[in-house]
Amino acid sequence: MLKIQDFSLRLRATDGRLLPVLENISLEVPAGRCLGIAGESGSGKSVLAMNIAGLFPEAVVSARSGQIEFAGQTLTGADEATWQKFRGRRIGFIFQEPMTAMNPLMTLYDQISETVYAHEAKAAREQVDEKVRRALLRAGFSDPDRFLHSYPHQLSGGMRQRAMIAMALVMEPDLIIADEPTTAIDAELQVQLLAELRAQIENEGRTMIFISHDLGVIRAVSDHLAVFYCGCLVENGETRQILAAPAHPYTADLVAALPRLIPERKLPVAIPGSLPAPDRKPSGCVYSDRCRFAQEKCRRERPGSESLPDGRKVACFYPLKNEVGSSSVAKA
Amino acid sequence: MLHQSENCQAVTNPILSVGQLRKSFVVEDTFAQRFRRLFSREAASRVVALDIQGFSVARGETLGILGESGSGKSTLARVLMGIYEADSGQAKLAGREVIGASGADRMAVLRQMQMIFQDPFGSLDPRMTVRQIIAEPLKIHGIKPEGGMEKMLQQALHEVGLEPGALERYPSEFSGGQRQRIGICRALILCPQLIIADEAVSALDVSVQAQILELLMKLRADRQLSLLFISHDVAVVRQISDRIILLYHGHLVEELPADKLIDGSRHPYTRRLLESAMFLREGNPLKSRMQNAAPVFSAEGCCYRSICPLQTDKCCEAPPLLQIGEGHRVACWHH
Repeated sequence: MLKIQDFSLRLRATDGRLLPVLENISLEVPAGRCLGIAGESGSGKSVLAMNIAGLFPEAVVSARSGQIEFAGQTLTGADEATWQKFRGRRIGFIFQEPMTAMNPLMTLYDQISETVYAHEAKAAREQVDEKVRRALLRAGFSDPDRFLHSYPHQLSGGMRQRAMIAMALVMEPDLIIADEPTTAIDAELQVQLLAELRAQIENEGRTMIFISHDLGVIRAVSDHLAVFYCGCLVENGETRQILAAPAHPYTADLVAALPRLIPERKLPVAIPGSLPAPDRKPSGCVYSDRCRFAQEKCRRERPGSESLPDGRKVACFYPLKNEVGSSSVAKA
Repeated sequence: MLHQSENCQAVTNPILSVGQLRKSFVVEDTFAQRFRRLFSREAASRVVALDIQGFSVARGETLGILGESGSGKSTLARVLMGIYEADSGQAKLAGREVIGASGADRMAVLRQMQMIFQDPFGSLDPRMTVRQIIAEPLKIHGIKPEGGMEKMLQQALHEVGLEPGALERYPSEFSGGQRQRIGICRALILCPQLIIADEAVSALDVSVQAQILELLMKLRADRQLSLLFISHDVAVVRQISDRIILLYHGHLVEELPADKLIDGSRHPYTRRLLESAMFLREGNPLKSRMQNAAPVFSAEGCCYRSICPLQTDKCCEAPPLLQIGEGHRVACWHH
């Protein structure tokens, strides 16, 4: 469904520095599946999502190479008219912050129907009503009519987040991109929203890209997982496999940093140091300055993405053997 | 009504002991309603955000406060800090009354009790340098450090893991985790005995979250700090706390040692929170279907009964906070 080939992106900062924010990303999302993208803030995961949806501000782009293909059509380099046909209609985007992504002066009905009118300017009122109602039902509103004419501030945080989902679903897109849609929400509400998103994939056959820094959430919703670090794809493959036995040291550290609920109480293990700025990446492996297992070779050369016997891909010279990661999150 | 609960506090030598505490807010009403009220005796309708029985925090202890949004966790923190004025209640910090304290009393209380805020972006003044931010509490309390201001600031920075060069920089030059360190540094500079951390790690990435938790644990051990750790994240609260209290709709529904949370908790609300947390953190399957219905609150009876699976007629009467084990209290008829 979606194919990203060797995609790189370099930005020009206001002070003239060139920032390589994405480097040689190759990914595929099969139709009807969910790809989880995990990584810390600054790892480039949202930048990739914005590029897939054509929402990235072109003014700061210094160089871009590689290809993004969606449903057989190349999106990279498309003109605005083409983008408009895809965005909203075939690619739905769920934004992170419902408070800033919604217009405070528009009612729920106006916000959601705006997408419909943008694509079908002459749509009949009854049809639009029907679409809006259906989208709200799908997003988990049990009684949509009650909230149609509410403004965002009159809704609770959870309902606003659902309204965002309804906005993304109203044109029945083939691909949904969800950028941290459940961050800073209560666990129970998260579980509900994840179930609703999962239903879109399983019952309606939609494809999804789900971005989060929380591997627990990603495990609950995704089939495949891509782990980003510092603009590079460090590990990708089946979510279960990766979480059961991470092969890249960064993935293993990310798993160990998750707070757990197992009987013995242990503090999550912090990763020392912090994510380097895009123009100060180590010249060898991007993770070499924080990695517990880094060797001389890691600091010198950047590892390419290699396939492991079980089918996943890892960008590491010394991928972890399974027993090292066996103490990790997943037993599912 | 329920004064027996105050007798069964297990904590000896508490740094903070809170009696009954109540805070309500006026429901935002229209101009017309307000106008009508001018000419009638009608009181503005109020919503009770916090109505809890007593609890206390021992010296050097971390008490976790767990609940979903709207459960009154932040209201509790703000009432204790004096940001909100409580309707009624008492709370004593090291023997000094906290609620309603003003002037010099309030300053004395605040020297012993400081707060770390949730939002590392909104809680630091963008136009102040780190030096100004960290030195401000000292200035407000008129404290002249013995070894000189400079030395004290450097030490404070070092303690929270920031470079000495950070002093002259502005908050915008730091990442979220580093800003949270600045917030912690500001809270610690007065050497308080109690820190209230209101969702202090919720806005951070998991890897950074782990760093900040590590720092809090280290500071707690080094300084014998007491910590009131407020969060909606069950896993984080369990890991960092000695004891946990659970709030639901402003009420204290359960209090228990952190080790008992997973196997020993009894309130249906606690069980429900645990179930979704177990699903997200450990990948355990969900046993019950999460209900979508919005809870209905009434002034009478158990606050949880409208959505409680165990609800019976008995629940129309508010359950007392009953002691059911060592340090374990629960407000449920069906415990």
